[in-house]
Amino acid sequence: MGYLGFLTQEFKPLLPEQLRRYHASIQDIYDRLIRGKELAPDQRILRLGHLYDEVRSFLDKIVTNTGSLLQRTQELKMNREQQRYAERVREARILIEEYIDPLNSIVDLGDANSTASLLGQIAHGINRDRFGNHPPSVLDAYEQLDQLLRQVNGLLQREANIIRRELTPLLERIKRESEIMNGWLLFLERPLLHAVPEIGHRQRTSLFGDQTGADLRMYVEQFMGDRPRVSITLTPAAALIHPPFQPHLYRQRLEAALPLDDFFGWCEGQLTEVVEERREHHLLKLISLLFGDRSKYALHYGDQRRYFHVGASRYTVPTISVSK
Amino acid sequence: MNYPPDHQAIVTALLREGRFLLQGESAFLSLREHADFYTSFFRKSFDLELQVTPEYALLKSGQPEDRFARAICIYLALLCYELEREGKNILETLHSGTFSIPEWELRLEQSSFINVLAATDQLRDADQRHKFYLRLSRRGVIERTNEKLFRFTPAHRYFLDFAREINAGEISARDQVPVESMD
Repeated sequence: MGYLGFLTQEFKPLLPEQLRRYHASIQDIYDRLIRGKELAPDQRILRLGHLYDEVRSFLDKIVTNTGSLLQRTQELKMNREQQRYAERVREARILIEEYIDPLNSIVDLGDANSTASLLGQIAHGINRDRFGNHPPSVLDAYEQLDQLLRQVNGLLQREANIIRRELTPLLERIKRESEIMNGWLLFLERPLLHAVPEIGHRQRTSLFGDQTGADLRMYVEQFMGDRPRVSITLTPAAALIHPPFQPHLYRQRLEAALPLDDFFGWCEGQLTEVVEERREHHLLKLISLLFGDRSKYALHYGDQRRYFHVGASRYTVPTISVSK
Repeated sequence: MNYPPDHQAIVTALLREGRFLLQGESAFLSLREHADFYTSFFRKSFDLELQVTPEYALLKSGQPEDRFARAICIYLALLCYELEREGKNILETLHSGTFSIPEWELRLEQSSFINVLAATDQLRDADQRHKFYLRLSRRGVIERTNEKLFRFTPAHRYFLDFAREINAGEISARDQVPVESMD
């Protein structure tokens, strides 16, 4: 019956309050049974029957309820209704708080106030009473009730297990999965800008270790077959710096040497002070000193030519006498 | 000074290879037993933070902007999205499912987030994704059973926890929004 109910019933789990009513009604019926010590057999059979029906009904309801909750939980898990994550989390929480936790406390055999414990006490009482002096028909009714009550423990234990092992973790997992999916969806709103977690990083610089010797040898060996390289020697930087041509100095010298018979002969004398590489440059400067201001000097060109060696060049120059 | 067993394997995996050290490796066992030593060892020697969980260990790079980490997050987000869309059990599938690369190539190509993939260098096309799978495997996030199939290692939980943190951050941010006064 419970199984068929599970298949056909829509999601309408009983509220815990509805289930707790059974606690009161079973208690009442049992009290009436034990109070009526001198009951006529047919009346006793009737009351035992009432108790049987009520317990049976309670157990059916519990089984149906667990099944119904399980079904709803699985639907929630599969999300056929395409609910949003936040809604699913909300529903999972409601199922836990409103139905599953209270149901758990009803079927909890460890709790002295639970309906399960009440049924335990009744089972104990019935088992004791049935050994009284009863006609066979009453004994049959006791026997029937006793058998049902013997099943109670196992059955409630099973339901409690389903709740503990299936429902609660399943709902917790839905909650957890929904949290993860919600997080990913938030991440995917800004996938290239959102912060990301730190992960490991490959450290490419190798540390000293037992490989270092071999690495070093390999590094050195790669150069061993090479041809000797061209070596470049750099002269000290100071030697490269030459004093620049100083026009004022040379003009003074020129003025002092006037009159000159041979201008280039004088130049030759001046250039001995200058380093080899700079001589040609200085010579041209000295010439421009003379020709740059021709109005100051009287020049007389001789007929002879003479050779003037500067560095690798050879100039053929006339003899020039200079006077004021 | 005596170092714990598998010291070199621990340092090589975490520091030189930058990968997750996983439950089941002997180096992981030694690392867990000497978690305090290694936490201080990596902190004092390299100023890096070590995270050890019952299932994996990770030496955080101290670099908050890691392209590979971003690619992993995007990839996992899309994977979870697709699994969720199909009504699959995400956590269980990631935990124990086997994934076929050609099959997921097809799904990713059809994904509604294809533009996100295109904008991510390491996931841009099939070639890049091929390299991405190789790197995932080298870093201990997946385990390849053959050329086409792979499974996730427990290291994937590190990224799922990250997603949960985003969600929790959003919820707490929403709760902190001050309620505007009516008057």
